[in-house]
Amino acid sequence: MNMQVDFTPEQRVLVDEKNVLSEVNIEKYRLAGQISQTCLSYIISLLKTSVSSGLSIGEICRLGDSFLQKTVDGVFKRSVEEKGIALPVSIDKNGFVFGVAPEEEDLFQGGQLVAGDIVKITLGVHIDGYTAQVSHTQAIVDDEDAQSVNTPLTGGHADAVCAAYLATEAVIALLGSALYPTILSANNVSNITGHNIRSVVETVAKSFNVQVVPGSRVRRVRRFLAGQNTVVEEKDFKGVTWNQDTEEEKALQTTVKENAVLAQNGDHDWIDAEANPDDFLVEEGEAWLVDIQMAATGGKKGVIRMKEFSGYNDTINIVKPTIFSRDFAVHYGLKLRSSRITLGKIEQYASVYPFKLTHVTDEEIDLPTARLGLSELINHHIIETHPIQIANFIPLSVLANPNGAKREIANATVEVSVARNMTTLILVPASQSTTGYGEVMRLTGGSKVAPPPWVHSSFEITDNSVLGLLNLLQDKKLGVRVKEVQASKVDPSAAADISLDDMVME
Amino acid sequence: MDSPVPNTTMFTCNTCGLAFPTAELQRLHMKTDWHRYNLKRRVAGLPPITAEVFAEKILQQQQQEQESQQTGGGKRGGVRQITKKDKKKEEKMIRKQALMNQASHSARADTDSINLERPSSPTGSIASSNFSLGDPINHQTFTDDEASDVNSVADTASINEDTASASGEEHDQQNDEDREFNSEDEDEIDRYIKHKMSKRTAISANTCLISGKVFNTVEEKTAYMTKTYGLYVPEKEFLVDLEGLMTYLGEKVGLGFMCLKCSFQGKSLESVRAHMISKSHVMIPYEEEEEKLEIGDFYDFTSSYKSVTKQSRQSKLRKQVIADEDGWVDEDLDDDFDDVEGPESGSEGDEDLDDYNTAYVDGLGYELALPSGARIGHRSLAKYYRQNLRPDAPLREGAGTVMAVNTRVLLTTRDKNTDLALKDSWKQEQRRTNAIIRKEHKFINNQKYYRDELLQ
Repeated sequence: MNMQVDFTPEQRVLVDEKNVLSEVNIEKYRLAGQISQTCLSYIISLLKTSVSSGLSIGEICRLGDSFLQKTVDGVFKRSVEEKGIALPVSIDKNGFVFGVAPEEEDLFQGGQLVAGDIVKITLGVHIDGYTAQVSHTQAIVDDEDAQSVNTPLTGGHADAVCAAYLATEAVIALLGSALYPTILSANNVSNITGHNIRSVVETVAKSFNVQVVPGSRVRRVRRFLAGQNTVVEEKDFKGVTWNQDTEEEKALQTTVKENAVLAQNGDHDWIDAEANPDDFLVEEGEAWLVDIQMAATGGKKGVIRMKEFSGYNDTINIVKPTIFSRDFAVHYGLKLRSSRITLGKIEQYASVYPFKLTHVTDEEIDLPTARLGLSELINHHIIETHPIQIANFIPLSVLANPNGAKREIANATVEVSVARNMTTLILVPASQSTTGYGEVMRLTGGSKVAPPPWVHSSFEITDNSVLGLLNLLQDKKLGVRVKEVQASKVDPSAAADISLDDMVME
Repeated sequence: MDSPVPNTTMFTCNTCGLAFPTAELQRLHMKTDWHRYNLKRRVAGLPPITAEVFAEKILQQQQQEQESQQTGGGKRGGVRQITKKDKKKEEKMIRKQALMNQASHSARADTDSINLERPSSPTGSIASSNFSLGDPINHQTFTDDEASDVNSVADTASINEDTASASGEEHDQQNDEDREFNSEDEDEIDRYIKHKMSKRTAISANTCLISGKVFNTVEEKTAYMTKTYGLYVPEKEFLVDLEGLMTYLGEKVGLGFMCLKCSFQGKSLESVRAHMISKSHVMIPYEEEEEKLEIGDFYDFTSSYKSVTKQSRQSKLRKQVIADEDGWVDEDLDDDFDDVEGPESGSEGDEDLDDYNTAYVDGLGYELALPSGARIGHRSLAKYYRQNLRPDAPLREGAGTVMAVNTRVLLTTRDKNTDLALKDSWKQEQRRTNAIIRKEHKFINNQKYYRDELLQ
């Protein structure tokens, strides 16, 4: 990334000016957050009764999508050209990480939900590119079984849920403290950097004997650049990411070190790259996405690899991805008429965000034709797929063995459950705030709309710095002020007819 | 009468058939009596005479004047007997002299009242000159001694004597022929001219050619004629001597009874005026080379040459800027390039050829941008130029933002010099198109009953 190319004036406007947190932009962010929150609470309510009602994951996803689409169609009807779903609703059970959003005719509908499972609900909405994304982990209980309802979730699932929840909260406090110079000076730091964030998240993971899943990130989001597109290598990227390869490398190096020097307790030792991507500063007026995924590894040392899910071996052979995004860097003269029409529809409907094929079909092009067109689009990499991913755990002892055969690794690989918490927040500076103080506007998630499920972990956080951060959120006067965007009231039966008039911010 | 014109940049006098190295000399020549005399001869449809012959005439006239003064009107004994023929001649001469004086008086009245400070004007000098046209010439044989005398006088009479004689030996030969010819016919011709001139008066510079209205300034008169008769003065920005031009036109109409546009020659001033009005010929023809040369004396196009040289110097600089494409030589252009998409090239004619080296070659060396706005592509890429691709739809903001920050998108580095050259060529194109538009506006036709041949 040494090549420096200046933006054209038009691009400058798109990248810089449109990202200033003006009143209108904050309102767009807020509305996107509100729609996401409303949809999230709607889906949570559906999941609570899913065991008794027998709704499949696929059905809930589709209900959520149609709800999002209808609601977002009702706002900013004239003044905004591009708005819609930023992430189709996907509900991922246990070991699934992302991508389970089945279409109606698919054989794989996301799996059977039973009490004791954890599911991740992930969705997102954008209005004029201002994006609010959310992910929430919910524990499944059998609503007809009193014992299931009245006992908390325990074990590895509980650890992962707790870790993801608390890490998210701690990072929010950390990001929010960038707004308050007093807090910073009290902690003897001048700025919040990527190192702070990484340190906090990994400390929390260690406390709960879980492991950060590759793909977790705490990153700044900008207009149309909310990290939704995996193919874009973003310029001026700001954020901490947990990458699969670097995590593995790091894990292997620590074992080497441990063998050599014996034990380095509790200290976070990073591999010093020439230019560490964590050398950034969090500044006020930015929007951030906190996406923490924790795998319940039970304290074992090992690495987590993502595997593309293509079906249970015996029953369903091939499960195809259902979520796609457009790669705007690729140009190709398409041969098929159907693929040309499909591409046109995609660009019109989905903008730069992931989409499902059923969203783009209408009278002009039906689903089978669109599928036909899509295959050409995928073959030429105009459209990239978001595959269904499963988290696999490989013990370090097997991986570190230089004589280890492939089969050995395969045998040792086990699927691990993953808890995920994602939230979008904007750091509103004092100049733009209605209260006159700088505040964190938490667009999605939060204790009211998405309270953590009733879980009971046998671990707790002992690290003082993290505890201090969590306390900052509780302190209303001297701490970090967090304003949560709330959901509007939803009548689940008439959810599809919801209008924005009853959407009020609490 | 042709004279060798050594160089196009020389300043010429078409009336006398001379060329001068500087404009200053040319102007001085225009003021001489010799030039005026030739101008009048030209109006009368006669060939011009050389400086020597003219000087001879002056000498003779002066001699005659002296004689008449000496005689005091009477006759002196011992001189040659005055025959009847002589008497008749003399009487005729006196009568004509009176007429001529009358004519010149009226002319003087016109010019003196308005334009005293400009004696260099030809009209003014007619009045002030004591040399009258068409004086009888005594039939004398030409001797060498006299010839030397003549030359010495001619030196004073005409400053351009040197240049005239320097312009070639043929000149001298011609002069000799002229002398022989003149000695025979000069008398009759002069008489003819005089006869004609006696009836005519030149229309002064600030008098309307058609209605005869007198204006305060030449500009007013020109504006009036443009407005009323659609008289259009061509190439106004290079016109240096409007008064001279108008005087010339006035002489053409008033003295020669000649139509401005066609070769029509009227019997009287009224007839030629009627002709010009009815045929819409109140205009200065400026299309043929001859027509341009006819009034070329009143113009000075040197400023336009300068701009061309400046342009070529600029283009040389630009060529240095586009340093990497040395391979493009102007002569090669015709061979190597196929004009694939230049619809309007060639409309500019000669000027374009001068500007040819300002063409801009793009970075890869496959496209030329001409100042006319045409784009010329290399022949090897002809099949791509012939493609008719649908233009890319503009990106929406979302896609635009993603493209802007996506480092995967092929990065194109920019060269400052290339950018500058490109910008320069765009500017040039813009200027050129503006000039074309302005030109079009200028040539909006203002003739009353004009019918475009193309539209028939």
